[in-house]
Amino acid sequence: MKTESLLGDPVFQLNLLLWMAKEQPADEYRVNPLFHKLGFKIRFIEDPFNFPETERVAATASGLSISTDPEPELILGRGVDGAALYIEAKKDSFGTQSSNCKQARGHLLATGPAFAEVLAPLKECLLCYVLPADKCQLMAKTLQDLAAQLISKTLRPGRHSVTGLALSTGSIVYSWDAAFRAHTGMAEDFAVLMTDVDDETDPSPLILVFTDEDSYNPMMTWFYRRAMLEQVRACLLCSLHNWEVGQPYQTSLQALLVKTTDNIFKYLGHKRQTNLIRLVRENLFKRIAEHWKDKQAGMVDLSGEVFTVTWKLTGQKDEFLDWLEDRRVTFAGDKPQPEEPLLFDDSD
Amino acid sequence: MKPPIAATSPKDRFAVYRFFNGLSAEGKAGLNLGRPRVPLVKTFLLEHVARRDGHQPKPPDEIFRRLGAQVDKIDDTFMSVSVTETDLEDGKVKPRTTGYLEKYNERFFAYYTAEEAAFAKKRVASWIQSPDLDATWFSSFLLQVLWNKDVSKRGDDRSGKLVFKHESIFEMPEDSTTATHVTDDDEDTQADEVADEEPGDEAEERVEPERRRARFEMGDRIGRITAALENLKRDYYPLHALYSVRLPSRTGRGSHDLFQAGQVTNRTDSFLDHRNTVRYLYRIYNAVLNLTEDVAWHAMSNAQSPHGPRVGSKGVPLIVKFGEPLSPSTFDRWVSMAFRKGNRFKLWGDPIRLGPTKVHVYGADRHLWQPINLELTEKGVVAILPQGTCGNTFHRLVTNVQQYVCPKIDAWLGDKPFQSVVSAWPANVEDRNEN
Repeated sequence: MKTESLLGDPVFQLNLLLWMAKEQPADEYRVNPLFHKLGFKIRFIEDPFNFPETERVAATASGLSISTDPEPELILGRGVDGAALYIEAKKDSFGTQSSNCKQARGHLLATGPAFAEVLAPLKECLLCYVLPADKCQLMAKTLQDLAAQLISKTLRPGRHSVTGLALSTGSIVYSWDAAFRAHTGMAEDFAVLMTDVDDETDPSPLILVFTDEDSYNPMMTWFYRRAMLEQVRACLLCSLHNWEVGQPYQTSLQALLVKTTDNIFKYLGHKRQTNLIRLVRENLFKRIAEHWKDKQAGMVDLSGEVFTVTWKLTGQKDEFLDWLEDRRVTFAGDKPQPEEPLLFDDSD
Repeated sequence: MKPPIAATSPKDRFAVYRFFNGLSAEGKAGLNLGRPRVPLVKTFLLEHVARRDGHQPKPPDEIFRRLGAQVDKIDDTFMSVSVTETDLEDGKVKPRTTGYLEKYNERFFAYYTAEEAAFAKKRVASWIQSPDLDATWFSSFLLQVLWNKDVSKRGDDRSGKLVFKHESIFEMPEDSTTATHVTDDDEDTQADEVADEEPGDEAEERVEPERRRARFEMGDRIGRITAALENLKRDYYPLHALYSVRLPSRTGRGSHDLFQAGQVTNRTDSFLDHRNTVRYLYRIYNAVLNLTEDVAWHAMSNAQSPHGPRVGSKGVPLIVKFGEPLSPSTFDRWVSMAFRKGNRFKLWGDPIRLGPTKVHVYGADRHLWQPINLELTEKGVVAILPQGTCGNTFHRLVTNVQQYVCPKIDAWLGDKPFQSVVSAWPANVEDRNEN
C-alpha cells in the first residue's frame, strides 16, 4: 500500500478530516483530533452550498464561469465565536485555465459575505483547500488569482488558505499557511495526524463516510465499496434479527442507507445518493433476491428500490439469516490484483 | 433430601425475603463452620435491551415466556420464575420455582436464586443468549474503581478479597503454523473451543500451545491488600484483570462477592443486606451505562445546535490500547476466531485486511444484533457504535479484551478515559436501606 498516493485520495482525505473533528484522547488518538481540539464541530458533509439570490444573480451576470452550487467536502463551525472552516479536498493543484476553476470560484464566493447570510449564526468563514503538501504552492497562487478575478468583477470572495498532507518518517503530517493559523488560532505551523505509518499497511482509519465516485485507485475503490456494503449488510442483519416471523419486513433502500450512515446519507447531494442506492441495489439486494428466487418463491421481493422479505416459519428465518451471515457469501466482488510491473517491456 | 430453594406459595414479597433470610442465615453458619449446608443465595443483575430500533420495553413475563420460563406476579415489580423440567429425585416432569425476579426499572432486573451456582449460572447463561437480555458487565475498570472509591475504605482490618483472572486464549507461539491454518478456515460454525471451567484430566492430555492463564486470589485484610496492590500490578500485568471484588457488609458480618458478569453472591446472614448491596450496584451500573451512552452519542443528540445544523459522523470512538502488542500469530488467531458463531466476543463480521496486523470489520454485535464498526490491530482496538444502540456492548468488549486478549489496557471513550466514565457515579448512589 502506497501511503503517499492515499494522501490525494478523496475518500481517504474526507475520512481523515472527519476523524480530525471526532472526540478522541489528546495523545492516544487514532487520528489527531485537531479540529475538535480547536473547538470545531461538523456542520455539513458534502452538501452543496445554497447561494442567496443576489449573489447568484451577480455571479451569473459577471460573465465568469462560476459554480452556483459548489459542494465542499466539509463545513465545520465553532460555537464560541461563530468561526467556520469550509473545506475542499483535492488530489492535485490546478492552474487558472483548469476546468476546476468554475468550482473554485464558487467556493471562493460561498465563503465571502454570502456564507454568514446563509449559515448564520456562523460568521467568519475561511475557505480551506486540503491537498498533498507538495501541491500547495501552486494551489495558493491559483486561489489568489481567482479571487482577484472575482474582485475585478465587483464580486465578494472570502478569505482562503491552503493546507497540506505529507508523509514524513512514518507519520502523516498536516501543515497550513498563515491565513489558517490566524483564523483557527493555531500557534504552530503543522501537526502530526497519524504515527506508525508503514508501507505494508493501509493507514485508513475506520471509514465514516463513503463515496463511490471519487477514488482513483481500483484497490481503494474495492475497499471502500466493500466497507459500505458490509455496513449495509450488518444493518440489514440487525433489523432482520429483531424482526418477528409472520410479519413482512419492508424497507426502502434509501431508508436503510439513512439508518446505516446515521443520517449522513440525507445530507449527501442527489447524485451521490443515487449512486449509493445503485451500488447497494446491484451488489447486495439484487444478489439476495436472485439467490432466494428459486429456493423460496415469494419470500423475497425487490421492486424498484423497495426490499421485502416475509418468513412464514421460524426455520425460514433461520435459513435466510444463516445464509446472509455466512462470511463465504460476499457482495463486493473479487479484490482487484495489484498492478505488477511487466518483467519485460515489449512496447518497442 | 435437598433443601428447598423457593418459598412455598408466598403471599407477598416479604415472605420470599423471609425465606431467603432463613437460607442466608444457614448459609452463613455453614461458611463459619467451613461446611456448606445450603447453596448460598445469589443474584444475577440482568439488563433488558430494548433500545434497538426504537422498540418498546417488554414486560418480564413476555421475555421469560419466550425463554421457556413462567413468570408469576407476586406484586407489580416482584415475581416468581418457574421452569418445567424433570425432577432428578422422582423423575417426574413438573414446574419448579427456581428463583425470583425483581424489576428495578424497565431496563434492569435482578434474579434472586438459591440454586447451586453451577446450575444457576447455566440457566442464566442460556437466558442471556436471548437478544432481549444481557448480563451486566462490571469491567475490571469498574471493579477497580469500586474498590478504590468504596471497598478499600470500609476498614483496613476487615477481610477483603480480590480475584484476578486473565487467559490469553488467542495466544500462539511465534513459530506456529496453526494460526495460518485457522485464518484460512472460513467455517463460521465452529464453536469457541475454550471452556470457562478449570481444565480436567482430559484437558491436560490435550496437545495445546502453552498460553498465559492466570488466576489470582488476594484474600487478606483490606489494608494489606491496598498496601501491596499497586506494586504487584506494576510487575505483573494479569493483576490489572480484576475479575471479582468482595464487598464487606456495611451493616453486619460477612460479605458479598461481585463477579464481572453481574453475579453477586451473598455471604452474610441477611438477605435484606444482600438486596441492599445489589440495589447499590445496580444504581452504579445504571449511572455508568447512562453516562457511557451520553458520552458516546452526545455529538449526535445535539443536532439542534444554536450555531446551525450539525451533522454527526456516527458516535465517538472507544479506543483501547494494549499494554503490550500482540504477536502476529496471536493477532491472526484472534481475528479469525473472534467473529465466529459461539465465540465469547459475540461479534459478527467479515474482517477486511489492511495490513499484516490490521483489519477493519464493519459488522454487528451478534448478541444484541446492533451494528458495530471495529478496527483491530496488534496494538489495540477502535470501536464505533451508531446512535441509539446499547452501551453495554462497550463494557462487554472492554471486559472481554482485558480477560482474554491483553490484561493491561488503557481505554478511552471519545476524549474521556474509561476510568472517568466508570467512576462518575452521582451522590445519591450511596447505599441506603430500601426495604
